[in-house]
Order: sequence, then structure tokens, then C-alpha cells
Amino acid sequence: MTLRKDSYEVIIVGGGISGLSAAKTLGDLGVKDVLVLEREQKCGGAPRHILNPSFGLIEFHRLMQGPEYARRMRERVRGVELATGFNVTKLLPQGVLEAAGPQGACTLQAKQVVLSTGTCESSRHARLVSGARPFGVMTYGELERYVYFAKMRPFQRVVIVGTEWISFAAIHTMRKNGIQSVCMLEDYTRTIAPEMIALAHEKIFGTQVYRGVRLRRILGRYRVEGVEVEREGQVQIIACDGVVFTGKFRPEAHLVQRSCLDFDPHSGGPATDQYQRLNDPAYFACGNILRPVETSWVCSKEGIQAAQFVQMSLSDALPAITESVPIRFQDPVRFVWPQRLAFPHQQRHKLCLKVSMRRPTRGVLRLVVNGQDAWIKPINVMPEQIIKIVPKRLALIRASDIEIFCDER
Amino acid sequence: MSDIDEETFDIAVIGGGVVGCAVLRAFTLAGASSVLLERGADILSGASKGNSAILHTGFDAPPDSLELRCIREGYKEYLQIHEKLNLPLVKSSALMVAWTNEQTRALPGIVEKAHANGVTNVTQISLDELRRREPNLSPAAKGAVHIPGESFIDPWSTPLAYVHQALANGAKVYTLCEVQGGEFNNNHWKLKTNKGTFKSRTVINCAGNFGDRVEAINRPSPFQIIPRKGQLLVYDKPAADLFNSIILSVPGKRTKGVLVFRSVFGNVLVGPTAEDQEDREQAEVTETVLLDLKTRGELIIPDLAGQNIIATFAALRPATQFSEYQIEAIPDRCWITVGGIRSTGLTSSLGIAKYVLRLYEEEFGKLSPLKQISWTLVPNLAEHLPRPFQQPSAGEVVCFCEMVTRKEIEDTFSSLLPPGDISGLKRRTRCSMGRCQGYYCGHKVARLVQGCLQVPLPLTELS
Repeated sequence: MTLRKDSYEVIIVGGGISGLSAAKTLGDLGVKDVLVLEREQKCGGAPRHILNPSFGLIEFHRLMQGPEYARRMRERVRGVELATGFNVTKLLPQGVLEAAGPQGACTLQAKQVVLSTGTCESSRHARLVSGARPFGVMTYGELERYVYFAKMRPFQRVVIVGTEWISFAAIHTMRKNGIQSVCMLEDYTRTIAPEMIALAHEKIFGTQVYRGVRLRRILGRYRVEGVEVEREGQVQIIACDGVVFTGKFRPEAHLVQRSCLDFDPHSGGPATDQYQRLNDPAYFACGNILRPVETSWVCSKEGIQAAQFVQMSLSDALPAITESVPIRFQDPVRFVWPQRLAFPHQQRHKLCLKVSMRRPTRGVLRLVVNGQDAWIKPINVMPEQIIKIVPKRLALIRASDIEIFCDER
Repeated sequence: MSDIDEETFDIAVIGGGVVGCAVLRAFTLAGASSVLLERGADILSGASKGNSAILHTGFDAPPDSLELRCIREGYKEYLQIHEKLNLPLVKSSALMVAWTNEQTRALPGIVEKAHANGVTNVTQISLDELRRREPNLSPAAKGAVHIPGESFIDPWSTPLAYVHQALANGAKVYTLCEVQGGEFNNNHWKLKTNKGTFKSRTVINCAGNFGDRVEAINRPSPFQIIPRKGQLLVYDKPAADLFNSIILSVPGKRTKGVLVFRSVFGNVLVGPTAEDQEDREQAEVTETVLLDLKTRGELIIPDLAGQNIIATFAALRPATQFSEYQIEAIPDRCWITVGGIRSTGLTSSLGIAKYVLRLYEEEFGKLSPLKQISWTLVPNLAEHLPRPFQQPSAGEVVCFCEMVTRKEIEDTFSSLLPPGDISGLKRRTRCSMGRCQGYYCGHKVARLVQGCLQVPLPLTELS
């Protein structure tokens, strides 16, 4: 595949759900000179290998599996150049990109760049898990790719680490592919996804969810032979030939980290304002690069918004970046997105802040603007969950000091 | 048991670690018919699979030691041959930083020792100079020594290049070939392996973590291997922008302390630890130690705190009860022992090989060197030099994190020494070694290697 040219009005980096959604919307808005760069051989992102029928309700008015959803998202993007097999290797100031495609390295230029490189789960390494390095330890995403793309099964009896929504989806994938889910492990005393989900899965599929159980060690020389766990002070060995780490998504933002763009170590993504705009006004972002982790619908909506903001930016309708106020926060808040607000706020755009906690938190979450409560709500959340803050519009006019507090109880 | 190879070799090298690979190369080029016997599925399956990839000057090696001599010679030869083998070299220089007053007082002694060791360009530098060189270093630093010659290289392509050149010049390599015993009769060794017997006039024991056990085939081992585990953290590439040099610690009694350093692949490493253990094969990582390494790394470079850890690993160094290398020729038994090469082996291997070759020629007679030496090129994996994905012939990139093309992976299987297992492929190409640890490419690589590895991946086809 070769590119038609090396300069575009808009280049979208990443042809997953949010990127495709941005591409489609740009077309609808009359921005025609758009290029989507996708490093995989096919656009569509992670849903291509997620077979749970939980996609498309809002966009296509019925539930469908990931691959169909990804296909439909691809088909909606007409007239836009989709370049697959292209890796962006560097983000330079003012929308200059270094990339590498099937014909080698190239430099591209765009008036506006939309970053939509998505996210991936934390590996056992990133979690600093103890033990050996046998074959059969992987993230759930990698397992999905093994069974759905390569049509191979790497193990037969697996221990699932984590209890996020996706962790329970893993049970279904295992069942469909003849893999027994021995048990699920959760460090905390309750599950990250609602307890009801966990109880239902325990009851229907017989997969025990061990709460308050720490994975101590992975065992096995050539392939996994088991895991050592600590349960109520007792060390116990669970036999298995695979360990799957689920969730703990982290944005794929290394390009941002190595550029002139502001990176937020708390969210793991780029620092943006409510217009999904980075510190260099040539750059916008959407989807799960922004923070861990949202559903396909939210990503697709962020893609639509990014396209709208890009169009506004092209016609100079966005407030200057210099007029932005950072949002402050402290423990136990892990991150807040967006990281700053640009004023004046465009009233037709509904403002929504996303907050996540470091640890299980029960208390009252408050958005304080200029010393006054602008939003307040009791919360009882687990880490990796996202809390939405939708402040009253008036509360933010002429804000000069914005802070998010959590009073723990 | 039958002979697996009809030939009676001049030398049989037991162990395909970095030392064995360099020894095989040196003897092959010197004209000896040589065979390498490796118990793993691939070379570098033992101690050499994990090391800090630093090309040492020897500035802090024990004075007047054989280790120092081999490091110095190895360093010199690497500089001479690396371009001919297409091996990278990053002349980063190193800083040995003092964090306590006691360590600061030790710095002049370190400079003195370096000079005595022949590394005369080592100097103590001022705090201002240190800040200028490393603005992101913790302000708690109290002083530093600058070692301009310390560099880093590719820890796996280097020994691979040695083996490739040996193979191209007539050597043979057998993997999954464990030497289980041997008989010495009529000035000939008959080595028993799981694959059959090998005949050789001289045996060179380079068996690393199994050095004492292999030695016992010949004589009661004068040394005992006490595997010393080193755990390391690997940070994603953006962390490499935080510093320039190899940041060394002032050494303690037993080890060189924790280092913060880059790799030629562009990652950052923090480690190693030094933990004695009994197991000679398996090196496990432990969460508490990894967390401690993280803390120590952040004390040296505080901004590491915001960086992503993408991999953790542990390796075993073949330490013995002695600090010195255990290299010895036993002429009446036609045996040469090369043991206890603890942690400087990557640098010293070429020097060791030269030294061993000299021992051999002194004791067993001159060899007649090859008239024409072939030079072989290994594929480049270093970030600062051109990589295949940047070329017009790139094709599909399979591993996005390390930018490994499909062709690079396929090419390994038609190379002089194809990978024997998945780890061997990773060491040759870097596939699945990056930030996603296989999420994007694990399944693609699994398909590509099907039917190509001696030790296949344990996968079941789904209908």
C-alpha cells in the first residue's frame, strides 16, 4: 500500500473505533482531505477480536459481536483514505509525523492530527508479578487474538487474574474455545465489576471468584504448571497451564511521551482540554488513548467530538490554549480527564469530566470551582472504574481555580 | 551409543553461552576443527540470556587479574571487529555516582584503580559537570567519576555473530545436546551426549552455570558454581530520554550495585540484584525485589517514577567461591577449563577466547590459521542504526513495539543458526519484547514459527 500524497488536512493516527468514528464525522462535516493511518492490516481496533455481543446498540440500534461492529464502522467511512500497515514512529511539532509503511519510512504533514492509538492491558511484567516465565502467561487481549485470529489454543486450564467487566467476558471466551476457567483472582475483597455479575458467573458457569486473594507467584519451567496464591494468610497452589491477566488497561501513548506534547502520567495518556486538544493545537485525541478505559460507544462518541473540534479548530472557533485552567486533584483520585479546561467554554458542548480512584473508595466526591462546590456526589467505587462529573454549565463560567476533592469515609 | 558425527574434532566446546561462542569462533578461525555442544534448544539459553549488555573498560576490575586482562583484550578486539560483523556500539560513557559521603571518599581510589588498570582517561568530575551531563539525575548526588570508554552493545547478536562466523568458517553446532559424560583414551575424548557420542582431541569446558558438573567429567571440580541471580526492570523507550550515560553505583563488597542504563534497543534497565540461589536453571523474579529496584532507580533518576515498566527478568551468573575467573589447561588430560565467568563475560569473551587459544597452542601445539576468513553479518537490532522497517523493502511489520518485520522473523529460519525455541527467536529479532509483551504480535509470531522450532510452542489447533 502506498499513500496518495504526503500532506493532508487531517491525519488520524489509529484506525480503531474512535479513529474511524472521527474519520466518518469529518467526512460528514465536509472535511474531505483525511488520511487514517492504521498499523494493523485491517482497521477496526480491538472489537475485531471481541466476540461478546455487546456492541453497536447506539450506532446501529442492535447488539452485535465485535467483528461485525468493526466491519460496519469500517464501511461507514467512505471516501477517506485508509492506510493499513502504517506505524507512526514520531510526533513532531505542528502536525508533522514520521511513519513507516510497507515501503519504509516516510514523513507526513497535516494541519490537524487526531491521535486514537487506543489502549492495551497490563502484562504480568507491568504488574511486577513474581515467579517464573513459562509459556502460557498472557493478557486476555492476546488470548483473544490467539483463539480468534490464529485459531490456536495456548492452554486448557486457566486462572483468570482480575474481575473487571472484561474479566467476565474472558470466561465466555474460554468456554467457547474449550478452555476451563479454574478460578478468578481478585486482590480486593470485592470485585471490580459489580458483585452481581460475579455472583451470576459463579452460579451459572461454576467459576469460583476468589476475593481478597493475592497472586504470589507463577510456577512452571517450560509451560505454566500452576500459581501460588495467598488466601486468608494461607499459601495455596492452584494447578493450571495458563494464566490470563485481564484489565488494568493503560493507554498506548508512548508517542506522546516522546514528543513535544504534554503527557499525563496519572491517566497514562496525553494531557488535553475539554476539546480533546493537546498543548500543540495541531493535535487532538480521542478514544482510549485518553484514559483507561471506556466502552466502544464512548470511544465512538469521542471520535465524533474530536472531528467536530477539529473542524472548529480549522475554522479558528476554539478558545486559545493559553486560556486554560488546570484541574487539580489529590489522593485518592488517580486521574482526572480532561486535565485542563479552556475558557470560554463552548456552551453547546456538554462538559463531562472523568475521574478514577487509586483504591476502593467510599466517600463524597466534590468538584470545587473558585472555592465553591460546583458538583457533589457520594461515591462507592473500585479502582479502574470511571466516575462521570457533569457540572452545571454556569458553575464554570470564569473559573480560575478548579479542584476535585474526595472526602473518604 | 553411536557417533552422531563421524569427525574427530580438534576441539569440542561444551556450552553455547557468550564465552563458548567466542571460544568456538577463535578456534575455528585459528584453524581448528571445532564443534559446539549446547544443552539448550538454542545458544545463550543459560547465563548469557540475561546480562547488562555493557562493554566494560575494566576500570574497576580486580588489578592484575586474568579478568582484567581478558576484559581489556576483549574490549579492544570488539572495537576492531564489530563493524565487520555488523554489531552495534554505543559509546555512551559511564558515570559512577556517589550518594553518601563515604562513597564520595571512595571516588579518588576508584580513579586511581582505573589508571592502574590502564584506563587512563577516567577522571573525577565536579558536581557542576555531573549536572551538566545528567540534568535529570537526583540532586542528592554527591560526586562522580566519569568513565568515557564504557559503552553498550547488543547482548545477543554479539555471541550470535561469533557463532555465525564460526559456522561460516567450518565449525559445527549441536543444540539440545547435553554432555552427560566422557571418556579419555589415547589422547582422545569421547563425549557422551543425549544425541550420541562426539570424538574430540581436546575439550573446552565453557558450561557456565553447569561448569563444575561438566568439570567433574574430567576431574573433581576445583570450583563450585553458586548461581547468583540478578533481577532487572525494563522501562519503555521514552525513559531513555531522561539520561545519557550508564549510571553506575559505587560498588559494595559483593557486587557492582544497581545500575541505570540504556540498551541498544532503546529501552532503559535498572538492576541487577545479586542473590545467591541453588537452582541453576530457573531464575524467578520476585515482586518485593522488583519494587525495591523501582525505588532505587527512582532515587537515582526521580523522573523514572512516571515511566512505564514493560518487562522484568532475572538471570543467573555463574559465580564460584573465587572472585577470579577459573581458566586452566590440563595438558595431560587434553582439557581446558573456562569457568566462573561471573558478570563481565560479554566484554571479556573475546579476550578469554584469545587467552584460551594461547593456552592451547602452548600446550597442544600450533594451529595453522585459516587462509581465508569469511566474515558474516548479523541483522541489526540497534535503534540508532538503520533497521529493515525503514527500508523500501520493509513489507509487513509484525511486532509494533519493537518494529520487527515479517521478513526479519522469516529470515532467521534460513540463517546459519536458526532459532531453536521461541526465546531464541526473540533474542534474534526482539519480537514480543516490547511494551505490549505479545498482545499485538504473539499470535502472529506463533503462526510464523509453526513447524520451524526444535522446541515448538505448546499450542492446540482449534477447528
